[in-house]
Amino acid sequence: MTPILEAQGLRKTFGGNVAVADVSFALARGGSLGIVGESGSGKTTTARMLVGLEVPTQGRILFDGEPLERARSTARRRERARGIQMVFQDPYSSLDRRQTIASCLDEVLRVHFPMSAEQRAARVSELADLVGLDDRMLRGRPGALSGGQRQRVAIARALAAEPEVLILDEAVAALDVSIQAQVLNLLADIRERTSISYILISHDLAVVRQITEEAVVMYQGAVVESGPTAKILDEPQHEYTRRLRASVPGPGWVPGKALASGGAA
Amino acid sequence: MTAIALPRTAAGRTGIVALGVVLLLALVGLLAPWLAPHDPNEINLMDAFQGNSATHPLGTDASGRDLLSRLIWGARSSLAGPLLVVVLATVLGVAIAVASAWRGGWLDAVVSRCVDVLFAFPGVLLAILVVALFGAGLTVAVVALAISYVPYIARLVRSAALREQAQPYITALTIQGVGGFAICRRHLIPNLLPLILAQSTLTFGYAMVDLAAISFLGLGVQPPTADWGVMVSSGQPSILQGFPQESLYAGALIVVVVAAFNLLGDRLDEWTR
Repeated sequence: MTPILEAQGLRKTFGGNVAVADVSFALARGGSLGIVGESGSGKTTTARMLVGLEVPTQGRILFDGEPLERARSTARRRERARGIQMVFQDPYSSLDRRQTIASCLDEVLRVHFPMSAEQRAARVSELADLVGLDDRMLRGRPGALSGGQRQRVAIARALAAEPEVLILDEAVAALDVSIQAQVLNLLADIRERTSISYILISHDLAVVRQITEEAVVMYQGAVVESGPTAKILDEPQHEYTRRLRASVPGPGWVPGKALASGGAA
Repeated sequence: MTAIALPRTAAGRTGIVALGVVLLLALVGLLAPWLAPHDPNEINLMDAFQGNSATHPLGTDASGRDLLSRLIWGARSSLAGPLLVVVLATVLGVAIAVASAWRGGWLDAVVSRCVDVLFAFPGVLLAILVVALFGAGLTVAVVALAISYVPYIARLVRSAALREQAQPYITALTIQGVGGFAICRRHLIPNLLPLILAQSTLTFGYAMVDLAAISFLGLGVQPPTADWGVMVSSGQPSILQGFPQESLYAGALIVVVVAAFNLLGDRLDEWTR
């Protein structure tokens, strides 16, 4: 079966700086792929190329087997928007503070679908239900919501265009651990119900393990390891993956000891 | 809407007072036909330089015209002139700034250089040049001043727009496939409005002083139309004769309005931050 999204030898340079050197991966239809790496490893630039915010210097992106061209016209960008959507890291700045949640979702529907006002209103409450927002929250502005609730709004907004691929760029990194778990469960639920595919970009191995089946590890702009998530995390082959895994505090981790043995942190 | 909390501090209350003064004078200008005790242009040479009296509460000028009536009628052009300047300059400035910030590239470069060049011209000088070309009058002066204020508004709004459009919510809208014009109109500009409003209010004060100066030089509002700037000017000879009232009252009103607008602009800037 053709992968829903495929990256082939993606490269992006800004002036003389290489942000992404060589990235290839394939996302199965209905699958979930993790992109793991530290800050500066090129994860976010890769995501920006996937949604069309950046144009790759080299390589190409295939959506459902068709190469994605640079979207110049609004019509082309809308077409792409219905294929691939994105949820951002910061739930505080990714929503317009002046817009009510309902009108934020409504705006996306208006852009993409020829629906009547009543149809849109019905779809807005459906989307709100899907991510667990109530009517009172729909009428409010982002300022009245918590970080976790805002991220639910961002997910609902991304789902409004009914995309086939959802890119989650550190989408739970800014949330408390307990809220993180709620949002991750929600994402897993949504995938079960809608057969959407995820690309989860994260530096957090626990998060990647929880909701992805496949993963690629990026280091200095290139993919250094790829395969089933469990295998990569349990039996890392590449030196960098091993170090990444070792840097996660596990049970029995004592802060004082780490400081003493590691010298100055 | 940005929520504006009712001010409880002393500084906040001066803002409310300033707003009250501005609204009161605007109302006076609007209701001039009913408030003014006399025809502002009725000349009566027998009554020249009258002191305060029941018929002429603030006295009369060199031609025996009632000063109170002239001040009341003068509120119209004195307030409407700067208002037009501000509205025109703001609309132009915001449109130019947002377009160049959003588009970037060569458009931004060209616009920024034009703004720099325009900055080099003092507003009043530009107005005098334009008046020399098109003839004196309020309209010409207003348009010329508005153009000279565009750079100030455009530069401020452009840098704010650059900051705002880097926010993820704008990126999210772009990814959604919302068109650039719609993003600017529905999201970018509304989010810049508090800043724009504060800047426009401050600009009103400057515009008022400049317009009064232009009228004082005889290039703006033409006598005998009652206008505070014109009154400051036409009251000059009377000062030498020992009757400073005309220039004094008109000048005082200009000072009060400018001070009120400056206070108001400062407060708006703080409240909406």
